[in-house]
Amino acid sequence: MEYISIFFSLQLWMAMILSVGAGIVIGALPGLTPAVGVGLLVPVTFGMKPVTGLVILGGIYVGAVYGGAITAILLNTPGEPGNIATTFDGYPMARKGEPGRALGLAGIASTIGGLFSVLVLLLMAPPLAKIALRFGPAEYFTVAIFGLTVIVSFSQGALLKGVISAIIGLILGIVGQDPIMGHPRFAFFPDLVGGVELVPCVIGLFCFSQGLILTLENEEMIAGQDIKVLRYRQAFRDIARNKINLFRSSVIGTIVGIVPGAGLAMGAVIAYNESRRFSKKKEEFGHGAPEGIIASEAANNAVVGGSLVPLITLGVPGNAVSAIFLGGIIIQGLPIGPELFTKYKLVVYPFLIGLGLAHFIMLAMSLWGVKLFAKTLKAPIRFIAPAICVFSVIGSYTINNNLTEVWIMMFFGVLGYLMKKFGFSTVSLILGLILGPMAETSLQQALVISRGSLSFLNSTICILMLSLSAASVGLSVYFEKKGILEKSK
Amino acid sequence: MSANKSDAVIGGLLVLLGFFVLIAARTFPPRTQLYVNLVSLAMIISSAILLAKALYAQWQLKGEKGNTLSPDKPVIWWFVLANMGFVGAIYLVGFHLAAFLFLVGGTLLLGQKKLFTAFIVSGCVVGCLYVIFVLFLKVPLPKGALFG
Repeated sequence: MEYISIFFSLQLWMAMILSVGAGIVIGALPGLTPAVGVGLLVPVTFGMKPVTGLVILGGIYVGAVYGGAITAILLNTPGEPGNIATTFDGYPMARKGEPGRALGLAGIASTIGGLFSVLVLLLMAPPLAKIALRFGPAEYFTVAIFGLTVIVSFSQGALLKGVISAIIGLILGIVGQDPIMGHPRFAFFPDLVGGVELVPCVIGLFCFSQGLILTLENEEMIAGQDIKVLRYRQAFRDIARNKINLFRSSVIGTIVGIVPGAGLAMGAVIAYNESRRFSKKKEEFGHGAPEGIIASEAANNAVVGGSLVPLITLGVPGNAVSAIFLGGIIIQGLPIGPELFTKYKLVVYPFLIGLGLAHFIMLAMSLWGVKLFAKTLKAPIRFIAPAICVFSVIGSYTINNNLTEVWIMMFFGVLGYLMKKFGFSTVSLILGLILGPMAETSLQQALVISRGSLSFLNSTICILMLSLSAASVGLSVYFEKKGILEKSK
Repeated sequence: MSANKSDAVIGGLLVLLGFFVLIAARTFPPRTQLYVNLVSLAMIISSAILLAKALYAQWQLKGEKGNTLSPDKPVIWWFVLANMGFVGAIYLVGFHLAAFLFLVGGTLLLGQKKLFTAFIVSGCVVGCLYVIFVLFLKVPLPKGALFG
């Protein structure tokens, strides 16, 4: 009862509502990731009560992860990397005149995925954290290999170009300082010594390039069609028909979130891929399949709770956002590690309840805002395309307050346009860029620990991940051949 | 340009990229060469396969045209140039003025006929950017050499 009595405070509710709303706006803007939103508000929470401060940070996190889905669905420009997979089916569904259905699916799936991970966090955090601790360099290397095998599934029908795109991403990941020796590699400009930043690449490949592609269309986003805005009620029916997909994606997102370093994008992409693998209507994916939106959004919001598991139980941040969250916990004078769950229950449990409530607030805002968000589709493209480019520029600039990131973003924007024109996969490139440094660093560390021997692959988790990777590739090849045979009949 | 020809050109360029990375890796410390060598070899092999497939497909067509890629409309490259001009102008006049000029110019380039509407919409977008980024997020946007 004492955990709940804290919520009989108007001030706390106002804080939650404002933080979720601000998070949605931040998440929708390209370049402004949840990490930026949480980071900006950490100093603001100094002086607040611990529960209020943490709930505000949690609200921003939850809102921002969903907010990226709005622009992903309406404009094919993901607000942040975790929403890339949402563009695959969200945007086609919106272009078919059902933006409300797509936004509704994203909101509901995000809520359920997020609530699932918060529940896991509440009930199973300590034992799950012990599993996360068993991930060393060897295990991270096999996780990266598994992530790269997802590219095979994604590239069905254009496998060679998908693989080449991923290798381009791996090469881009080599740019910068070598992770072990610090030797600079391909750092032709001083700003490249730190490597190629992920966010300008994502903004360029997905947002700026979309602005360029829209210039070729130059009409209303949905010309002459009625927007079936109220079809968000159809979204509830879609969710009811996809319970297994929803559960599976929530589990995937939670597990990916628990593993430090894996990230929102990886959780969403893996869940999307598995959803397509097990779907009976594979041909609909990429053309507005509700399952794809459900999988992506449930998983990326499930990463939220998952990423807080190692943070709250062990003081080990699960991703960039939870690392900033750590700052929020320290500012409140709270200890880091298992003591949070034992001596500070009156802070942690209300925070987790508040995180759950933030998801309901996010759902209410998302459903209430559907009509307003969908109106953007009636705007002429001659206004939308330049605006997307301007937001891409400012989003890239805010990363390091440096115009170099803007030029990098524009380079990737033109590259993204050319890749789409010639049939290469921008998603595979991003996956290579994310997973390449992780694979290289962990491989080098594992080889140092094992003194050059490949015996580091003998651990249980490594064998499991390698088996999953082999199964992933095998199943993809099997389904591709099966599809080809069925088509030829 | 036909799809096969473009694949052949891209395949050839990527093979060269693979060799460039492979040769450059020889200057890296020995411990770090393994991963880079693996990646560059993967690039060389996969892009060589792409090149070979494209050349073979082109040879099989024997003078027929095959699939051709639709040519780009010039507007897209003018738009890219306009974007580059926008970023270049930021150094001189700062973000807000450069964004306003780009938005007006960009909408006119894409077919907007009424200048007054372009001005109003562009002003509103820049205003929103100011409120969100400067007032709310407190991001210090560049003011440019003229106004800085």
